Amino acid sequence: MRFKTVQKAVFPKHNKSRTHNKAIERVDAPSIMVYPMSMHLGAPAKPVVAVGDKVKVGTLIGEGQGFISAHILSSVSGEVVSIEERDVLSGVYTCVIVKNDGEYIEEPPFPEAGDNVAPDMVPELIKRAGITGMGGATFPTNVKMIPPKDKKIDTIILNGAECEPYSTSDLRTMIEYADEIIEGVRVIDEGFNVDKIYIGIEDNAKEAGEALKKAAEGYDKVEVKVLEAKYPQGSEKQLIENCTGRQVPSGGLPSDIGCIVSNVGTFQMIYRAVRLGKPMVERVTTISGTPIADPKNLLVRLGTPIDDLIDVCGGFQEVPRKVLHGGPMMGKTIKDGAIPISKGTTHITFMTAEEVDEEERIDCIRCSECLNVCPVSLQPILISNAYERGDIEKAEELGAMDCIECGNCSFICPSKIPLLDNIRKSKAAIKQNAKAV
Amino acid sequence: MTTDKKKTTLADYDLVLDNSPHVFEKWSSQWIMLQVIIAMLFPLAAGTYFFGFQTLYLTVLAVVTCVISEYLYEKIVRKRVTITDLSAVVTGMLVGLSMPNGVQWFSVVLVSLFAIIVVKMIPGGIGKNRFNPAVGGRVVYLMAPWIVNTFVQGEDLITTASHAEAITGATPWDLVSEATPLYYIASGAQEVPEGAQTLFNMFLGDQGAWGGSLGETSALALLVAMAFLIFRRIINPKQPALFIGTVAAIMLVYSGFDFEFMMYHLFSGALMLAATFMVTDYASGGLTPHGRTIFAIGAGILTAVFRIGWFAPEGVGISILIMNAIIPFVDKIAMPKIYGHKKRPKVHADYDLTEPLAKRDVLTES
Ligand code: SF4
Ligand code: SF4
Repeated sequence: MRFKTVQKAVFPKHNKSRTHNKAIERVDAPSIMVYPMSMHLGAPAKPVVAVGDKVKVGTLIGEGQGFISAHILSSVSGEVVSIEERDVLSGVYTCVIVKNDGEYIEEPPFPEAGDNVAPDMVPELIKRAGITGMGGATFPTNVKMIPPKDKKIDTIILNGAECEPYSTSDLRTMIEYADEIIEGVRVIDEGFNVDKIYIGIEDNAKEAGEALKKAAEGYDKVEVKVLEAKYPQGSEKQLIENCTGRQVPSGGLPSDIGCIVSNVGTFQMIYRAVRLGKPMVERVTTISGTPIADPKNLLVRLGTPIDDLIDVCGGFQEVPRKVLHGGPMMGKTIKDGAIPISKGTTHITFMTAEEVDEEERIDCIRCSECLNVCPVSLQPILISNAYERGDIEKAEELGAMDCIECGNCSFICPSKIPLLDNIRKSKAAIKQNAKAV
Repeated sequence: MTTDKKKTTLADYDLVLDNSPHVFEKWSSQWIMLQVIIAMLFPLAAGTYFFGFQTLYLTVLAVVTCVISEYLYEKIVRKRVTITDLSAVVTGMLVGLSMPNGVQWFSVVLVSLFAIIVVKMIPGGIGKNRFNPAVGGRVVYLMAPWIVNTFVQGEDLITTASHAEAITGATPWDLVSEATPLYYIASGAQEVPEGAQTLFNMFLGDQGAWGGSLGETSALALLVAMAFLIFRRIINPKQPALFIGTVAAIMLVYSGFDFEFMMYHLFSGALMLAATFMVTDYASGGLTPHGRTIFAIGAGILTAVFRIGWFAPEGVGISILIMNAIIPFVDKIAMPKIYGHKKRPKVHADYDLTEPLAKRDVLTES
């Protein structure tokens, strides 16, 4: 039975209970680490090391290229053993392979870091630390933190609404690192001096709200917003609207309406970079799903291949059929266990064959459900129909480019029509056409 | 450091690659149809109680005819057979429930054939029919004698029929007419006449000498069915509420706030049946949220107008068909505003909103 309390959302099973109460556990890095030059949104970084070079924890191995890009730093100490092209999730990228010497010798902290950092130094330190959004989209954080010229930023929103099933990495981060997160907020607030700070969490993460409230005691601007647990509550645009009532204009950025939004973990990283001078070399990742015997929240060094985390979580108790980078709503399927944990890896989900149900598509019955659940108010079936008619122009007019690819429409469709697939294809075709002109 | 002995790796497993999302709501279009069928069992039971075994037998006959005709049609035109989606069963049951007391079996078969072949399958099958098949069949059937009487024989059925028996006698077909009870309160009446059943009996389904269709006799059974569908999230309560509310409001005003008169209208004729199963129809009731609202209100207004001012039977059915005809245009101007946009998306009036029969995949064509 499905209870739809509010429109424009769906309610997939949370499946978070197995890791909800499990404290973050640090894992050892394996001997071989993989650093793709693209762990972020934007231009890939360029390798600045050569085979045979020695690296330390925090050594720059890939330099961000252009405005929207991010540095790639080593998360272990050791030696570069290979630089090769590999297929990693987002495409084929150059990867720097480092042999871990197990010493974890660190680079010295950034000399400018400390308690009194000038506001214009903050984006620079964030950039040097290689920080990107940690909620999955991996937008380079330093870009967000550069004040726009003609807009006043008046609101900071911390995204702790972890709406993807199975994921508890943000939850645990909020519970266990609440102080560091709030300190990270202060760093940013010093620069912008905003009016209001919201922390958006879902109502199944109450402990996290308590922890953050405690950490922010006396910090009056901070308000913890407990939102209904539904999908996609953690989508940036929806969170902004829920907290402030404002809508990001189509094609615009949150800063256009005076907001800075970032994942809670990102603020923890900002604290570490700006106050302690430490780079982002690790993150919390949930490893979960029915096949996993002992699912966990792990503190993993970036670059750790997925294969090296399975045994840490007790191995498989059931045969996996699908492995997802992320969760079942937006996650990407993985086949290659050498693909590493990267900056946006909130969780890895394993699914059994029974959970991967493929039902036959039948004709649309025009139940309107896909319209009712689309968080950006598109008409998914009409875009899908336009695409299947070969009418790409119509698909664009109907707003295909505004789709946030949340998957709600395909999730809900009782006729099992691959709506999101068709919308993705429409987007690709629209982009192709735009290039051709 | 990790050890080398029997490490678990993904390479040892047969993994699939595909696109998100990877989980789906546990329901199907077939399940939805099944819920509607279950809901129809309530009025079916009530009809059987009040009108006897014929209700059950005629409904089964309609279902069998609908399913077989859909199957044969698809075989003949070489389309994928879709009877397993249960939508033909839904149509059949609705046809059965819409038939008047005393109808002949061959009329039921003809109406079922008309509903499935002409209204549903020729426009393309499930989801592509602009008109509600069962309503289409019902209206053609109920209007036929009236049309014959009015235009062929040159006499007006209603004016010659001052009481129920006259109507029965005046029709060449087996029509007792669902509209029978309505003649007392519709067609310009402004108050409940003498000799009417009590409201409570009407509500339960005993319409006395007033007759009525097999499935629409008991408002109680229909309200139970409606509640079931709302509870199962099959229909949005907005649609029946707006439809019934609109009729009620107009009747209240028209009768000078005669509450009883209004209630008689709500409990008689096809109103409750329509509110539960016809206004809420997916394929023919509008796609956009605004479209569906307008559909329900529009059908309500037309129904009230027909009952007040026009002397034809079947005001509800005709109202729904009229709304069926115009709702695609309403949907086009009432498209929801996309997040972050100032204007609604627009398409031309002649743009086809239904799923294309022949599907293309432009990206892989090239
Ligand atoms: S959810 Fe599926 S069946 Fe319903 S209108 Fe959308 S595409 Fe059609
Ligand atoms: S159309 Fe895009 S944004 Fe809307 S529900 Fe589907 S995937 Fe989500």
